[in-house]
Amino acid sequence: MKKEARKLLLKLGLSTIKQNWKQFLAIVGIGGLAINLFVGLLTNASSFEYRVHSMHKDGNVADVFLTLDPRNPDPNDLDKIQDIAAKYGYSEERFYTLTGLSSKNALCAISYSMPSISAPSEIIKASPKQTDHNFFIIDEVLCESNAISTQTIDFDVGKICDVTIDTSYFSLSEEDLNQIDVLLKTGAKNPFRQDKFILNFEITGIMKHPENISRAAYSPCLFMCSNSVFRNSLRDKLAESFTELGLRTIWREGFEGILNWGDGDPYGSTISFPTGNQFLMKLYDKKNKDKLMNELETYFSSKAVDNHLMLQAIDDTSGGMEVNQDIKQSYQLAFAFPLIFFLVAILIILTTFRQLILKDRNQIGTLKGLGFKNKEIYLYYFLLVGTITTVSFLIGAISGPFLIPFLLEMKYKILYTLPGITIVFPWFYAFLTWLAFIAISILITWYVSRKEIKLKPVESMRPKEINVIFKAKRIKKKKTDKANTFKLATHLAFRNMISDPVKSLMVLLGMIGCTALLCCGFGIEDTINKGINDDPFVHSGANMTLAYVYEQDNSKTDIDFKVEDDEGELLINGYQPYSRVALEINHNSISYSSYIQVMGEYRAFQGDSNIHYSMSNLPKDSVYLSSKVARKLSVKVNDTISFEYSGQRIEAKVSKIYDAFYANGIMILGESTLFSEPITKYEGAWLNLTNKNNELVREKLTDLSYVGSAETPEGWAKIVNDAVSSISIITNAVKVFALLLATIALYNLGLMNFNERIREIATMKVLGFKKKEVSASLLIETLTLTFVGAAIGLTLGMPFMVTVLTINEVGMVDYIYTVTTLTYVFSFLFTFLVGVLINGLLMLKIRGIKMIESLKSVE
Amino acid sequence: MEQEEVIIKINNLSKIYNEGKENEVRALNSVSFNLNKGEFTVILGPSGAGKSTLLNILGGMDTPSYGDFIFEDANVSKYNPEELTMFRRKKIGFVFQFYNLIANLSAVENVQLASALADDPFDSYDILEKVGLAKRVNNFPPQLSGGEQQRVAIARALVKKPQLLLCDEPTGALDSKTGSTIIALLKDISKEFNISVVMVTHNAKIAECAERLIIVRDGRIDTDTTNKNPKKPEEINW
Repeated sequence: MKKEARKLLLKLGLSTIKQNWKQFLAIVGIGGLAINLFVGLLTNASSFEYRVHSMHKDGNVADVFLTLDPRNPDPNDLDKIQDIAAKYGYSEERFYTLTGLSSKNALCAISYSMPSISAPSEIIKASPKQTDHNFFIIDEVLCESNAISTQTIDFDVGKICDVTIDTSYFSLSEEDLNQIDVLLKTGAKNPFRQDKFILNFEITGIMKHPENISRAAYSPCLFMCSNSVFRNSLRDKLAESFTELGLRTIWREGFEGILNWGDGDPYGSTISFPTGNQFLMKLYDKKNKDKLMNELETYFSSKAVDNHLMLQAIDDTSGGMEVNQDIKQSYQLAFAFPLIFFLVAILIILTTFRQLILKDRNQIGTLKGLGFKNKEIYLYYFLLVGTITTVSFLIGAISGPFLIPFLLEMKYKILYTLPGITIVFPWFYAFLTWLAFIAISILITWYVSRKEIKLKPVESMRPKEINVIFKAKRIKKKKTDKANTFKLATHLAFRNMISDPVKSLMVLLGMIGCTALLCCGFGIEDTINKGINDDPFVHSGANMTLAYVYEQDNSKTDIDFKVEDDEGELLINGYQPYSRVALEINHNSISYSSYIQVMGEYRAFQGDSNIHYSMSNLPKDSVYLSSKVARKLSVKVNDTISFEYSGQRIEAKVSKIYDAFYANGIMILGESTLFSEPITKYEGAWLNLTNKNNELVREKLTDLSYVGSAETPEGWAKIVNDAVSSISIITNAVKVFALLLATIALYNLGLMNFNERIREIATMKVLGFKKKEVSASLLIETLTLTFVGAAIGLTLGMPFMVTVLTINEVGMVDYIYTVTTLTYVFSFLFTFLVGVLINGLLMLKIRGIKMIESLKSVE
Repeated sequence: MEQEEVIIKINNLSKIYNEGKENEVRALNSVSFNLNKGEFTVILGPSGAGKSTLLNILGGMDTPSYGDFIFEDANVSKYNPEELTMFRRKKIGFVFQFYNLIANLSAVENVQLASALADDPFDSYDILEKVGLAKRVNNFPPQLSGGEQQRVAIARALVKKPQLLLCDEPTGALDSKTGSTIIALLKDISKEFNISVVMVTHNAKIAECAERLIIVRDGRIDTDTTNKNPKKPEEINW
């Protein structure tokens, strides 16, 4: 092709774009949306994965964790484990257990010095006191006010916090305790005789830790403490109860092998407490993970007493699994969600270019008459579609990575502790997407243009023969003439739909997508509302939920919240205590992190029908299990699960599986026979108020030093709603995309219909049809397709919602999928309304059609 | 002699495009004439003479720049768009060169489309029978020949019982034999239903069939004659 010819075609292309800009804009819009979503979601997934890996790398997170039973130490383990680990890498030990950090569940990691494995990924703040051997570092998550926490925790460097230590770790017998008793100060109680005691620590630093990527709200958060800091605090605590001599005796001589402490302390004991009960192993080559784990398994199984509790790779820990699952889901989301937009984009390209080619028939004939080759004409159209799709791709690919990850960051901020967003642009996938988009567009253009371009020039310049797809009916007898405009408009509309199935399919898909997305968006809200409204905890039957601090000297076994008004009248009828603690639940060698709800005696609600059904009639010899945990562990009614609570290993039969949104986990009575001793201490309570002045009760309760928070059911509902706020973001995004999809698909079809039928509209105007009468057949066509599409879309709303919620699973809640009738009605009407509005706008153009000019040319 | 009833009065009618601009075009320049009821009139002229502009104004599809168009004592040139719509609906039948049938409606439905608008229309089947398409009523336009399509278009124009039937080059896309039958049909209709027919053409031969011949040139009426002995369409040598 000569340069001049190329210039001519370029001018022609620019003029075509100018003339058809509205339809090309629809391609750019819908294609850009699809690319924006795809590349944006992919960027989000890669960025999320990169940030997780950065945290792991910066903190040198362990590849394998081996946890031993701290109550059953074996002095031979240390050397043996280190020997096995040394074959494949290196290892470190630490004391690791679940404790309470100012009434919040937390994992305590005590080591002699700052570890090199599973170290903080980042020290955000540190006091000058902090050294490699003197530290008490908490995760930044613990410093934030947390929606799920029932406590208001004010942590910062230099502040003092409480750590609850389970005394069972000291494994003292009655005989040991009797010996210690004589060392007590006069009148002092032996702290080792209590279940727990509380140590005070000054916070020296705030960190991000690679094992705390999953936030403390959903799984206990790990804090780090040096051995010396721990021992000093323990010594101070014991000094409150023991005489100086007694303390020295315990520390130096005593109970060596029982208390297990001492190495390097001022009193000169030889054995350390805490004994390292967790080994962190780092592999030189990650491929050796299975070998290492097999060798360790073999070692423990060969022992007379297998004292190992858990052997897990980082990816098998509950936090690791949660993060990995989310990374996987974020990639799945990128491939699932934009699909419908791609389909609509492809259909829009197909219909737009088919219309363009038909319009250009004469032009094609002229170009061929001038001597242009077929391949040059093909090239012209391919370049045209390629330019439009490339513009569409560039808009989507540039906007997506700067929009979607920041939108979804709201979700990740709630669920994870991660470094700031790093845009990891998925170059490979983006390039593939561009290639695929261009290839499909060119293929479509070739498909719609091939017949026209193959014609002889003279054939192209003749009016196109209209294919008749309707057969003439046989005339049996003369019919009565019962013509009316509506009937004819309906006939015309239906025949138009049938005679152009691709165009009809495009609208149908657009409408199906819009309604399904709307139904999905509103359905997610229904599901969350149902979850909150039916949750046993949120709607426990109580007027108020209380969280209070368990205090050593105030056991609160029989607390009496006497709150009175100014006239001295009691405002609380009674209460029911409960505890909610995170734990691992096991069944058939599968474990799952969840919660245990220990229910106190029904004091205020005994026989009260208001108590939530899930919590009533709890048996003493078995437990209830929430459906989510049952699903995760494949547990059925009458199966046995195991868990550890308050130092006891418990095996329990599941007598009922209940539905819960937030109150997931095990539900058990405090006085259950499964406990060796009934549980009498709780950290929460449901209050039955007199309903006179609930706000006053709230104020008075929160003034009490040991009360952390007091929430009404509405307040709880808000707290739980906030916890799933990430889903609300998705929900709103889904709704916005639904409307964009409907608007673009409908506008494009409407415009195309309008342009194709200008001659028909002009003819009707000449015949004397009014604007609204002309609009009728166009409206009937679009609104029928909208109606059918919306109806089909409704059936897809629920599966779509389940998919979106499955992909966006939030660990702490369980969705009881629900779509209300109102949502169906609303989604349908909304789609229909968009259809009416857009068509209404297009109908305004009818007035602008010039009859003479429209009817002048040859069809 | 029977008194001829005037149906249309055109007084000093002008149509100027881009008035006052460099590219001003005077399509019609102070045209005046009357049309009688039931008359078969041919407007003849070369391309660009203004005949189609005149036809469009007569059909209420366009409005004059100046002058009056009186239809049965009503000044159509003063009508607003809604009144023009009703004028076209009630009074006018239009036949185009390229038929302008709606492809997805059958022949009878195309006719019914117009009859549905009229207060007292003919029966659509009857009118199709009248134009010789009794056996093709259920066929769709692409299944019909050019002549058949034009017959449908004529039936569609007639079914409303218009007082004025306007035909813009109705034989322009047809062969001579078919064209001849179409003109014969139009003449028959004019007589049978006492409808004024105005046909625009640039074919001087067709003008020989006209009862009245108006020749337009450069936007003005060149000649306006009455033919006492119009030829039969089949006698014309196309």
